[in-house]
Amino acid sequence: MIEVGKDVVVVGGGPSGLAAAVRLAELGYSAAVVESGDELGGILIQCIHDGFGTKLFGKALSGPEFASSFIERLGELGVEAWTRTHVVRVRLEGGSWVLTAVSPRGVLRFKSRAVVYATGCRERTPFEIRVGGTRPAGVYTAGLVQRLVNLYGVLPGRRVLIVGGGDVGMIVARHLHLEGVEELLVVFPEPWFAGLPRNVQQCILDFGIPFRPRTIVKEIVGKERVEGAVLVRVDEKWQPIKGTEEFYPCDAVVFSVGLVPNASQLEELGAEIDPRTRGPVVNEYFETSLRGVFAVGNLLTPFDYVDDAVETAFIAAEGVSKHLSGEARRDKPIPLRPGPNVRLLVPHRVEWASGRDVTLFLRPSVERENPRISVRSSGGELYHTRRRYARPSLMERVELPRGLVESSPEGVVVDVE
Amino acid sequence: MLSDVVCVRCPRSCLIRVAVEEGSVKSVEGYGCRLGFEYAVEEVTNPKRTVCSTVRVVGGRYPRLPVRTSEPVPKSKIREVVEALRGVTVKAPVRRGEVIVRNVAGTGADVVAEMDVEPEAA
Amino acid sequence: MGLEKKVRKVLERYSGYNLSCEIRDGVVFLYGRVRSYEEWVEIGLEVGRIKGVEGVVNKIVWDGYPAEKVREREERRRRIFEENKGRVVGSYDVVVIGGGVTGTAIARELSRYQLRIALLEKAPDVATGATKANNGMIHAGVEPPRSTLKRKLNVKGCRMYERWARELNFKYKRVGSLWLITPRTLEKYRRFLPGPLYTLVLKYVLPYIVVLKGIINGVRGLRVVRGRKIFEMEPYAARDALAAVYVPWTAIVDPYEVAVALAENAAANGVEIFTSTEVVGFLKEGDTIKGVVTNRGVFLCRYVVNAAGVYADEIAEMAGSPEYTIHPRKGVLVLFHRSTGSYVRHCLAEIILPPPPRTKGGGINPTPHGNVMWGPTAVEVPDKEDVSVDPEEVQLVLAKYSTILSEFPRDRVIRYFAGVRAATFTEDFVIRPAKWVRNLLHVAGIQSPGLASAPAIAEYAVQKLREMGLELREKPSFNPFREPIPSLRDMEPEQAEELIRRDSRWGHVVCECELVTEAEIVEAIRRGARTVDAVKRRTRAGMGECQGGRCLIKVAMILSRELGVPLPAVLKEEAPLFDGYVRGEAW
Repeated sequence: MIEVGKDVVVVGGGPSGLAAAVRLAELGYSAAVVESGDELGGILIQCIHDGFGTKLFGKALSGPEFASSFIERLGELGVEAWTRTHVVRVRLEGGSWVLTAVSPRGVLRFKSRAVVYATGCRERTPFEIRVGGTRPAGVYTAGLVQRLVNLYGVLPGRRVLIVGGGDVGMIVARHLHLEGVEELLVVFPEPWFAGLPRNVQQCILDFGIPFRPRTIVKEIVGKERVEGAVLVRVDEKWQPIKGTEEFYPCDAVVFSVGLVPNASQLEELGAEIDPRTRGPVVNEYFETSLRGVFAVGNLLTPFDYVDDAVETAFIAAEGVSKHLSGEARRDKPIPLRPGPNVRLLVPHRVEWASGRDVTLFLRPSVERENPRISVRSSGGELYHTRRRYARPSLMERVELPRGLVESSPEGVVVDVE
Repeated sequence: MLSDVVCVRCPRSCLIRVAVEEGSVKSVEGYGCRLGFEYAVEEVTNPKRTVCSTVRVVGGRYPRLPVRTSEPVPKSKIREVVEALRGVTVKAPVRRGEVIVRNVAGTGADVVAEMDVEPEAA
Repeated sequence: MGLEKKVRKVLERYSGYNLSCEIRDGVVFLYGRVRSYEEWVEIGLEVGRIKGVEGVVNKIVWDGYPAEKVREREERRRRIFEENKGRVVGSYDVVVIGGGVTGTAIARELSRYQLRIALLEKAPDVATGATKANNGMIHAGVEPPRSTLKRKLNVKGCRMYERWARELNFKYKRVGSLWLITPRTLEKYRRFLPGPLYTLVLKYVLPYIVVLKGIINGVRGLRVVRGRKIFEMEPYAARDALAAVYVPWTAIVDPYEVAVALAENAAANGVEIFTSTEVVGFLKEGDTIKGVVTNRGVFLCRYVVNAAGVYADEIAEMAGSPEYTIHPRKGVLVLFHRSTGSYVRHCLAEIILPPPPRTKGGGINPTPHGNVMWGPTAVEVPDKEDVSVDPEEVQLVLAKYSTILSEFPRDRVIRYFAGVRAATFTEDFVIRPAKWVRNLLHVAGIQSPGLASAPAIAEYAVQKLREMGLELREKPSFNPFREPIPSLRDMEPEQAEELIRRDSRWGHVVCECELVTEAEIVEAIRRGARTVDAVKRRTRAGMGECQGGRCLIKVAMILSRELGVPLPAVLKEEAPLFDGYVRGEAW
C-alpha cells in the first residue's frame, strides 16, 4: 500500500482539477492530482479545435494547448500527479479524508484534510432521450467520436447522422466533414442551432453541411450495423408530428444531446445533489454538503466556456484555504434560489462568515432581449445587472456583492426579467 | 454588392449588412460594437479561419497528433490545407508548437503541433 | 377422426378464408391465406390449444408475408450448403445446435459422459439470443398450468439452481418474490363483488387461491402476507396493497453469465464450441442424420440436439421433421441505474386478473448487480430478429408497473432492450425425439420459464437421448466446477494489491462506471470473448450509466491488441464497430 499524505487531494486531472491544484500550490499547500485516465488534460486533449481561453488568456487556444499551459505550470510547482489512478473508496477517518485508489503501481491511500472533486461530466445517452429501435454497431455519443477521430484517426462510418445542434455536435460535424465522412446530416428539435453563432458559421455554414431543425430521431434501424434512422418532425413543444416520419439511410448515428455531471461517487458519499443540475449542492466557495469536500468545473454543471469552469476551481482553492485555516462559518447558511425564469443556479448557498463576493452562474429557462438579472429578497430587489441577451444555451455569470446577500439571511432569489 | 453577416463575436448575433463596391467597403450597418464592425468587414472582404486537424504520429500514446495552422488562413484554402496533411507522418517525440508543415498550401501559415508527444514504451 | 374434426371446427370460424389442414402423427399442418399476422397467430394458438395436438406447423401466409425474404434466406442456405457439404470438420457423438442457456446446459450435462460433443452457435458468442435479453428471474413454478412439461421442469429446475450456482460460480441471489394484491387486482370483476365483499375477497380469499395453485403445481412454502408486514418486507410496495403472496424460491441471476459459465465448464470438460457457425442443412441417409452442414463444413454425428431457440422450427424443417412453428413474442425490458437497487428487495408483481395481454408475466425485479429491471412486455412479432424497441412501449412499461412501487426514481433509466421468446403454438416446451427423423432430439419452444428450467431441461434432454439409444458412460475426469473471472468491484483493497503485484493490469480501471480492469477484459478474451459485447457480458464493461461512452474505445483497443486485428475491424456483436481511417491512413 502506497501512502500519500497531502493538504489537499484533487480528484480528476481535467482543466478544472489542474486549475485547482495549480492555485492551491500557489497558495502554498501541498496537493496531489489523481486522474483515472492515461494523461492529464481531461476532455481538452480530444478538443483539437481552437477557441479555448478567450476569457482567461485573451486568445483562442486549442484544447491541448489550453491544457498544456496548466500541465506545465503544475510541473513547475512540483505538484504530484497520479494518472491511471482510480479512486474506489472514500472515508472520513479522524477528521481526515482517506481516498483508496487503484493504479498499475498498486493500491494507494491518499490522506488529506480537504478534497476537491473535479470529475467533469458524462454524455447523455440516446436512452435518456428515449430513442427507439435497435442498438447495433454504429450508435455513438459525440465525445466518443471526437476522441476516435482526433486521437485514433478512425471514422465511425461513411454516412453519419448527427443528433443535436449544440456546440459539440457542430464541432464534431466539421471534423467528420474535413476528415473524410462522405455524407452528413445534423438534426435537432430546436428551431435553430442551440450552440454559439460562431460555431454555426464556422462548422456548419462554411462547409454547407445539411441540417434539419425541428427534427428528432424516433428510431434507429439496423440489425448488426446501423442501416438508417427514422426521423420525425416536431412541433414547438418538441412533440412528434404524426405522419412526418421519414427513413434516412446512414451507417452511423452520433448523439450530442447534453452532458450530465459525473457525481455518482459524491452521491454515494452522501453529498446532497441538486435535481436541477444533477451535480452537488455547493456553497459560495463550491464546497459540497460534506465539509472539506469541494466540487469544481463541469461536475457542478456543464459550462459553456472552460474559462468559467476554471474560475470555479480558483474560487474553490480559496475555499480550501479557508477550510484548512479553520475560518468561521455562518450559523445558518443563506440560500440562493433560482427564480421562475432560471433553469439552474450555482452555488446554492452562502455559508462562510466572510470572504469574497459571490460568483453566480445561472442558465436562463427563457429567451429575452435586453434582460435584467435581478437578485431579490423578501424586502425587494437587492441588485440587478443588465445583459444584451439571455437564452437557455448561454450560461450567465454574475458577481454579487457579498454584503447584499448577508443583509438577507432568509435567502435571495435570482431571476431573469 | 450587399452581403449579410451574422456576427460571431458575441452571443447577441447581430445581423450586419456590408455594402462593397469595386473591392472597397462602402457601408456597414447593423453592428453593435467595434468588434462586430471589424469582423463584418473582414468576413466580407477576406474571411479567414484557423484550421485544426491531425497527422499521423509514430511512437506516441495515440496514433494521431493534433495540429493547427499557426494563424488563420483564407477560408477558401481550408480544403487545400487539409489535403496538404495527407500522408504526413511524424515521429515522437514532438514538442508543442513544432512546425509540421511550413507555409502550408502557400498560405504563409505553418501547420504546428498542438501538444507534446512523448515516446511510449511499446 | 376426432382431432381433425376439432381442427376443422376452428378453421370454419374463419369462414372468409379458404383454410385447410393436414394431420400427421398428432402434428397439425395449416394451409391457406389470411389477411393479418394477428389472425395467423390467433388461428395457430386456437389449434394449439386443442387437446391431443402435439404440434402446429402454421403454413398459412398473411398479407405482407415476406415471401421474397424467405426465398432469399433459403437460397443463401442452399448456396452455403453446396459450398461446404464436402468438407468434414470432425466426427461427433452429439452435435448440439444453439448456444443459448438451453444448448450450453445440455452440452455441459453431456460432458459428464465419455462422448465427443460439438456445440454450434451461429453468432460470434454464446448467449446472444433470448438468453441475453430476459430479466434473469428464476421462477418458482407457480404459474404454468399443472399438466405442462414446463411446469414440471420449472419446479425442478428452480430447485437445482443453487447447486449450479455453487459449481459454476455465477452470481445467484434467492431474493424471493412478492405478488401484490391491490384494489386493481380484480377490477374487471368488481361489479360482481359489491362493496366490502370486494376487499374481503382480495384480502382473504384470493391469496389462498394462489397458495393453493402453488401446492397443486408442487411449489410449497408460499405465504400470505398482510398489513404492515408487506411494507416490512418491501418498504416501497404500493401503499394500497391489501395482501401479498410471498414465494420464497424465486431467485435472480445474470442470464448470460449462466450461459457463459455453462459454456466455459462444458469446454473445460471437452465440449468443442464452434461460434460463428451457422447450420444450413443436413446430410441424411433415409431417416437418419449423418452430418450437420454449416458454413465451416460438415460435422458428422450420431445424434443431433435442436436447441436453436427462435430458429428451432427452421432447423427441424431442414432436418426433415417439421413439427412446430415458432411464433416470436417480443418482450421489452427497462433497466435502471444501480442507485435504484435500494428500492426493491424482492421480485415484485401485481396480480391483475385476467392478465393484460401486453404486460402479462412482467413485473419488477432486482438484478444480482444491484440494478432494477421493469418488464417484460409481450407482443407477437412476425420477425424473429425484431429486437427493436418502440419508445411508446417503454412508456407503457413505466406507466404500467409504477403502480407496484409507491416511490421510485423512474427517471434513472439507463437502458431498454427487447428479447424474442421462442414460443410454439402449443405454448409448452417441446422436448422429444423427432417424429420423422431417427436421431434428432427437439428441445424447442423454450420460452419463459426457460431460464429457470434450464438445469432440469438439460437432465431431461440427456435422459431422452439415452432412451434414443445414446450410451452414457460416466467420465471420471468430469469437473463440475468453474472459476469466475475475479472482479475488482467485489474485492477488498488488500486483495487488489495482491493481484496488482502479480499483474499491473489489475490496477488499470478501464470501465469507471462498473469498475472493470484491463486484467478482467484480457481474461475474458482469453476465455473466448471475441467482441465488445462478449467482453461486456463477461465483465460488465460498458453496462453502467454512461453505456460505454467513456470505455468503448479502450475496450476495443484491448481487443484489437489481444486479437491482432485493426481497431476499425473490432466487432460489436456481429458487425465491426467503426469504418476506416481518417484520410485512409491506417496505423
